[in-house]
Amino acid sequence: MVGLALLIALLAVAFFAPILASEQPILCRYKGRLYAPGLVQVLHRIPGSPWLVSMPKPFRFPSFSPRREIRPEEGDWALWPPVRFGPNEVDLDLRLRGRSPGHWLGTDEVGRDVLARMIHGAAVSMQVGFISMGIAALIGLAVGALAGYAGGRTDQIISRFIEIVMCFPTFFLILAILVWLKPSIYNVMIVIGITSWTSIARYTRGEFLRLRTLDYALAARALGAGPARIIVRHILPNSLAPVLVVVTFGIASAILTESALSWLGFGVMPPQPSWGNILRSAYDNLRTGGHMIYPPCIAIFFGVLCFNLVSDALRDVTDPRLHEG
Amino acid sequence: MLAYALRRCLLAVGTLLGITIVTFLIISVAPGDPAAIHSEDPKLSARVYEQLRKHFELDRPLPERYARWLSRGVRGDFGVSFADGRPVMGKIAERIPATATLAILSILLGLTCAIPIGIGSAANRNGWFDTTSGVSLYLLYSVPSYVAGMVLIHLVGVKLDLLPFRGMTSDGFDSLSLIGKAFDIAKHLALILFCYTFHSVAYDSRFIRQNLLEVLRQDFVRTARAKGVREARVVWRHAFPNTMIPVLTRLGLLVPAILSGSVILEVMFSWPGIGRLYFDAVLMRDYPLVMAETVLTAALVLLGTLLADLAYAWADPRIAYA
Repeated sequence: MVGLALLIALLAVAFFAPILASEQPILCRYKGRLYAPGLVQVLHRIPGSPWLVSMPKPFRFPSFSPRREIRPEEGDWALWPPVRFGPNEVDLDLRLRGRSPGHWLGTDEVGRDVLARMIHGAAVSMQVGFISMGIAALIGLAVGALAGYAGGRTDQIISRFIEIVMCFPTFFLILAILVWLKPSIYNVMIVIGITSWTSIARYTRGEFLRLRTLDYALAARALGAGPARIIVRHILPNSLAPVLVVVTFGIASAILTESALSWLGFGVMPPQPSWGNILRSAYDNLRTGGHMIYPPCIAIFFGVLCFNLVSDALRDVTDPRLHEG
Repeated sequence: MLAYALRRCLLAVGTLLGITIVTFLIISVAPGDPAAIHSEDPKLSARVYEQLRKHFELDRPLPERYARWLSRGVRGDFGVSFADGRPVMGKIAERIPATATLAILSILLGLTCAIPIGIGSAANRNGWFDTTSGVSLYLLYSVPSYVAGMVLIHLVGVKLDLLPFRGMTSDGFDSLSLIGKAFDIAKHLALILFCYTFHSVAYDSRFIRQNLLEVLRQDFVRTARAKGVREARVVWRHAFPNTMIPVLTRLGLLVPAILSGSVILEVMFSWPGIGRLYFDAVLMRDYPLVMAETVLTAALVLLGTLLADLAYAWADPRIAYA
């Protein structure tokens, strides 16, 4: 339960990042008109919405600074986010400052607000975690289902292949592929996805081997259902529970891998914020940037902890054998 | 047993071949070719580019290149590094001691901590020790090793200035006495070794506890207790040796974990080991080195699992006949 609460809080922070930390107001009155730039930014997180609602005009321009332009003495007002800095707002006069009333977690080496970067970094971590494991789950389910349902020769060949891929230490494999790709959040997602499907495939295969011999699968076949229908409609839904546990664990390790890659300079590239590259700038400025160490460390710890807790809870629910132990 | 061992070894050879194919494909099929990287200088003519392509044998078909690379690889020749023209194998060999020291010490230290904790918590199940160690180990398990590394570097290395955290030796290492040398390396080892080890302590002690609980439920333990054997002797002599079999397998699986963890920790602590060599090779796009190291680590993982399987079959003969 603690894990689930933590997870929901983390997801909320990630989703609502634009109204938690931004240079744009959530809601404001500017020159007699009402604008909601912050809300539009949140809306833009939903795929497809930029075509429906676009950012209102003056707020769209990078040179437009709402903080200067909105003047209460002229009848303007604004509802600001709790952290009034965007993740990429540079202030070269305030480099590597510690905690202060203005910047709650201090600033980094080019004067960006660390808290704002932490909040937007949460969004990056969650995206990488979910999307990369989504890719891994798709590959793993497809490969595992094929091996488990077909059995025999196909199963042998696929199992061999899985064994080969499992021999590569994941991190080495990821780096080997990233040699040739430009570091970016999308490449990181794809590479983590295509390197971490093996355990999902193994679990799916095991479940399929077990389930395909059960009476209901036989009944479906007797009723004339084709293999595709039996796999997708009959066996897959019943094999998902243990796979879900593996996927949740996988999200935790994908978040870890992303931060590690970003720390090494192969992941999310600055100026895009990520917990890993905040930690990196702390490492590069060990003596003056000590205030940047703990926020990402704590965030990564809780990010990993909540996914571990949730997947343990899922396992307890889906595997009744563990209750006696 | 012999037949089983032979069959496993043959399968491993097949897997090894698969590993080389996968590695070769990853590097070869990927966009960008090493000749182009070497001739980024626009003044280099097309002729030089062609020569470079010939030099790297890129003008040959893929299967032929693979066969040539493999036949040289089998003889331990993985080509020369792009960075400095030295043989790749030599570069890897000189990095092995640093990583091996860490790995061996980490496994030994990990087990010496994990076994007493595991046994202590299983022997007194749901007692205060079991509950507190359970919760704290679970939390510890969620701490990524590099996060612990950063915190330790900041606290112990910078703030308290107690231990060094860059490299394996201090400046002026050669002028130290033998004891001084050992002490110097031990000081450099302390932080990185802790980061390497605490994860496996957290995992292994829970693992040993779980296995021991299972063994303690069995009939021969009840018999021993019924005979009036003291509880300490029941746990240590009767039950504990029976939990070592799964631990053997776990040891085999520890190899990939250690190798994977090595990249970021070795970079963080400037440790002159395999992981940092790999990282530098990736940065420099030193492709013979990347290829050799990928194959070798994968082969090492394979060897680890193979040895674990064989040890398992040796300790529990029922496996071999299954």
